[in-house]
Amino acid sequence: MKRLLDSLKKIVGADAIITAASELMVYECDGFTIDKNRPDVVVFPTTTEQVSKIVEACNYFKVPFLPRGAGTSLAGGCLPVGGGVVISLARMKKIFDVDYRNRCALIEAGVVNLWLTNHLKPQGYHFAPDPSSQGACTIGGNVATNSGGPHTLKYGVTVNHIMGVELVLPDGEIINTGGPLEDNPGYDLTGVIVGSEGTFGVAVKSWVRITRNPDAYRTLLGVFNSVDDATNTISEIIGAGIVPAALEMLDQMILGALEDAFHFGFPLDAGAILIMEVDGLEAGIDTEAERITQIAIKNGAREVRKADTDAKRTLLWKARKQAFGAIGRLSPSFCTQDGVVPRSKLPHILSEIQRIGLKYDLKICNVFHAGDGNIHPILLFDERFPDQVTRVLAASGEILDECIRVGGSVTGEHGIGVEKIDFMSKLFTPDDLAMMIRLRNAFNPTNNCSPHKMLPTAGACIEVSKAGRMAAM
Amino acid sequence: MSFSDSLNPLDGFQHKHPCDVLEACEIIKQSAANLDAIVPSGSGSKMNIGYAPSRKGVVLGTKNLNKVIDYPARDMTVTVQAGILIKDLKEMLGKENQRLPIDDPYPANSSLGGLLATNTSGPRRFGWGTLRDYVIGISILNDEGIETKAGGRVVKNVAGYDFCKLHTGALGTLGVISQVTLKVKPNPEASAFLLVTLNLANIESVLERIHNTKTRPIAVELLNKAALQHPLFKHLAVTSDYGIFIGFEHSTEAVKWQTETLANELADAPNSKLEIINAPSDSALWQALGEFQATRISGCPLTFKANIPSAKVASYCALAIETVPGVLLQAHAGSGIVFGHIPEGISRQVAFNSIDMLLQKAVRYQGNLVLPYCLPEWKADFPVWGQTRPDVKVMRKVKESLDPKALFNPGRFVDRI
Repeated sequence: MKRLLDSLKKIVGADAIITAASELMVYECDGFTIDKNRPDVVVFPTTTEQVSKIVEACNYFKVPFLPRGAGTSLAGGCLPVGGGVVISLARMKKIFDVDYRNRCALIEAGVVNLWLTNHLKPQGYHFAPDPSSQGACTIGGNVATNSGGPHTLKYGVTVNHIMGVELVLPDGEIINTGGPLEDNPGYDLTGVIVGSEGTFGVAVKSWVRITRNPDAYRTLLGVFNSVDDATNTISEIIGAGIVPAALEMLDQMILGALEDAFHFGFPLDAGAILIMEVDGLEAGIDTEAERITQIAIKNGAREVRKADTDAKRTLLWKARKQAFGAIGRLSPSFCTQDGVVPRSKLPHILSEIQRIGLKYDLKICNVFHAGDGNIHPILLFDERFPDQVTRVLAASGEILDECIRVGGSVTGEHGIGVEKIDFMSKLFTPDDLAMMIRLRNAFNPTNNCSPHKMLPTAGACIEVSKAGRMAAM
Repeated sequence: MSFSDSLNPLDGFQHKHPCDVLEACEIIKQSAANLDAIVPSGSGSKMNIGYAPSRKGVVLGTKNLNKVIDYPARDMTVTVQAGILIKDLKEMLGKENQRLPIDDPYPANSSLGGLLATNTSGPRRFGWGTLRDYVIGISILNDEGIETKAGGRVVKNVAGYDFCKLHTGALGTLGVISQVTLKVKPNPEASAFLLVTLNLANIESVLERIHNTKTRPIAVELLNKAALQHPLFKHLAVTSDYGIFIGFEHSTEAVKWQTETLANELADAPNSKLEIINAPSDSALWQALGEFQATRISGCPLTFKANIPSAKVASYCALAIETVPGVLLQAHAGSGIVFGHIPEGISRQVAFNSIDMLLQKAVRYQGNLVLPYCLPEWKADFPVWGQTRPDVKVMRKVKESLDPKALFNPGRFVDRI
């Protein structure tokens, strides 16, 4: 390890390396805190060439490595299983080139999602994927996990907005895929690199598509006595052929925490609320908002409020996006799950979540992207009590199993990471997984880059396929 | 004459049309054992794309794999087998007032699998995106004759690698697409065009205004005079050098506002004439604009497709006309895609030099130029897939990993992968 450290110091300088145990603690996990393991070293390159040399040095000394953005991922995607080198891209934060006429921009991986949107704002543009963590998460992390967010219902997820990447392959070679223009001939490598959770290499730069801001918004708050009324409303809005910009649901438990934190005026006795937003042109938008309002009322909404000023809309979205931060008011620890069901199965999965919460004696609140069928049950617990951790894991598993059973998926936007490796063999057949391993081998034949992520190790025992948890013990 | 120089690239191939996936898998296993090439084919409408296969084998037709697996309309997804004809898919979706908003030049004769393998798109790509934005699940018959899947049937899903993207536009070189799950959209309530007729000198300034418009066009189609004389457009009686069709699809109120607003924004554009054309989404004009890029012009030896910055479309068209007099041009101007049909009578050498010049120009813009159609006897010399880019090394590794025996469409795609 010392020889590797000497090499890394030559590449980036001593001030761009962390090796002290106290400092490494920050990097022992991401937003998924159940599994933890400290890396041996964290290195902070500032150029693509430095990343390439770091990767070559790691390979030379046979030390595993993985990239990391802001560490906001919620599935252990940047957990350094087995130690090794974390390549932090936090210092690569340049916005190189914004081409408004051609609607694209070249940016480094460490650029924070919201910085980009703020950078584009004066010209009336934004970067459409808007994860709830957008104030902290980086574009590189968005690329790795194919992040979503509340507005993906209309605008799509990260991959729909990434046109090309500069990738340091796991052997250190630098390649560029795609670029500022659409339709370059050949395989859509960009499309398959996005969402590969760092297992195909280190994506250091991205060509991103930029999106014009809507001229108008109508943001509505539907107040419902029951979760069922709210989910029926969602189903009918989608079924009526309306594509809102966002359709978010919050249940009663989360509302209380949010009201304490933000004083928005949420109705604390409501069973659930829906944030329903339409955007686009001013022409016709009131008609669309009215159709949604009528559908909500028909399905039992006791009132539909309008966030009719920019300040109210901003506060509402701030409350929604910082909902996870408010959970601290309810519990010392929490585990945010990320499942997906067909939208018509939302009432079913929510009642199942309630049943599972009772079964395991856990409080579970819900705040999620209802329009996409992307649920985020938040399981509350105290990590100091191992029994609670065990029950949280069992309940999470049962919820995700039910998502699979009704035709859904175990992750809509957080990724597989280490958390959900065991679910891959429930979603996919051994033949499906073998094809995924073959694809990974095309990029990462030694599996030295982000090992033990996304794919279960073929033929391995459960302990190995849960290497992250083993490392945490 | 080597096989790859044959005028009919599929001469000597066996043509098989399995009744189901199991039978298709058996054909692949047999072909793999014999190291025969497997050429996937839907309805056969796009078989002239790319080079000829580098060895003989089997044309595996998927026309019988055309079942509807699941259409939960309220979830706005549909799962179908890949051999389904686009017209049948459209008809089914239409009954629920939904659609896949991807233009196909010949919906009556093309299959979903073919549409996907060639990543076909048209005018609506500016507003609605391309197929990569709609495919959420895929099943592939792999090199071992096993059906494997990726993605799923829900609109948001990041479990596993995104093979949907990898197979979209891969020309069937990585396996046979057997089943697809798509996101679908509601049909728009209304649709209309604003037609701007103008001369070359004013194109870029008008495109710049369209870029900055308060409206949200779905399509921005630029056609030159030669193209506008084609029977598909002749009835419009455009006499100027160029026409720009700006298409809108939205609610009735929004479409009306947009056509009027854009007309006002362009009212003082010099030497231009404006006309609002009310054309429903399923009208002949939308179809013509989607079809023209793939139309076989009598005697046309090749069609090129360049991808360039949208801000360079006007100057690129001017260069194309200067280089190839009589060229029929259509640009998806908002997306920077330019199609050109080379007219009859151009010699092979002149065509080669012209294509090379246009290719180099596109490459300087970080784009490329490919030939969706080319006389078979010209393909050996012409850059059918444009200039090879450095990332082809990784593409080759992907191909070798997923199809190590090079069974699927060997030699047809980029860099003769």
